[in-house]
Amino acid sequence: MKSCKDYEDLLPLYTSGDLSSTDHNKVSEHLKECKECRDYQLSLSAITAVMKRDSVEMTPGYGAELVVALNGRLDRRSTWQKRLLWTIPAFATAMAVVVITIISLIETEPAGNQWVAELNRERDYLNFTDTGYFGEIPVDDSDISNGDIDLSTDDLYRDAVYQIVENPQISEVDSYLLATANLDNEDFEKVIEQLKYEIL
Amino acid sequence: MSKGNEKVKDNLKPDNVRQYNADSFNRLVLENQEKIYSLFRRMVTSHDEADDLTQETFIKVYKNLSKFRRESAPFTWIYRIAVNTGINYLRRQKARQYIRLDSADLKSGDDVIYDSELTNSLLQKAIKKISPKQQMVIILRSYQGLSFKEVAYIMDSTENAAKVNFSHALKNLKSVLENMGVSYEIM
Ligand SMILES: [Zn+2]
Repeated sequence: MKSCKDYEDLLPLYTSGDLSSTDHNKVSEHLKECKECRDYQLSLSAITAVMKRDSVEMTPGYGAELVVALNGRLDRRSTWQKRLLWTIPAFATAMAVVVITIISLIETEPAGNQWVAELNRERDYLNFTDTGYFGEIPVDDSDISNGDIDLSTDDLYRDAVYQIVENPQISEVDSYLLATANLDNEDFEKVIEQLKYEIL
Repeated sequence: MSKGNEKVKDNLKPDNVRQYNADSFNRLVLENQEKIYSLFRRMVTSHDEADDLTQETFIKVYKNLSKFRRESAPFTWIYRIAVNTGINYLRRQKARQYIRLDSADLKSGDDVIYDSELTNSLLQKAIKKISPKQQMVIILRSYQGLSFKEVAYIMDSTENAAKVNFSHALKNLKSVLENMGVSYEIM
């Protein structure tokens, strides 16, 4: 026999329509005879109903503005990086000249030409990959990490608090983020509690 | 060289590749901007904040395009980046309140309203009081109508964990609203 507390735990998924039909029916039966749970469920329905009704207003043309803004930001980055990358083919050409000179001194003509062809292919390849659209910006792993490494211990959050409190000269928020990057939510809350205690 | 080969070679010229990729990135932005902006708009108070977060998300999308594997739909992959960006932002904000010692930010008495009708704006305030992860799961499931399978992928968890998270979030939301003095009779 289930208690009201057990039913209460099922009510959010009952309200969102995500229970199996067996569980759904069981809950429906209980709701018929229990006013307390019925009231609880009505509150949850009221909340989700407001959420369903609510829609975000978008300014017309936001999408186009966004594309322009993003392309502007990415262009600025890539022209700067392109300038650096242009030095790579230039370097390859310079190296080719050196190698060809050496080869022509010690190798026969046909073998030397093969080398040159190889080097040219390599230079073309570099030219293509490094100045290609996606080659320009280094991929940043940290951006989409989900904090898979589980380091969430008391020590870790104390360290985090220590870093935040002791290193205010670094950008406060950066040091904070750095220190809490691997914490899950529960430990993160502990950090906040500890912070309140240390600072206030 | 045959005409076909000539064409392939043409397509592989750096300038054409650049143009091709720029077009597909722009299309990705246009197709998903509304979802991502709405997600952030529910999470923060101003348009500017939501816009900043949307831009930050798409810059990350751009930087990580080469890592996108076709096993997931592009929009869930973009959501995944957005949710991480959003959770980090909320944490940063919360931390700032304590680090700056800004007493004005710590005052929270002003949003206690007794016997008030449940409205969008009250709900928005209440949502900001639950944990970032719970906020996300509520927004994704209840506001944006994603399935738990999608929510699980986006939040890098299992479907079951996403359901448990959602249940806690909704129950917490209910008690936060009650503490704010919301009554449901009118609904
Ligand atoms: Zn009951």
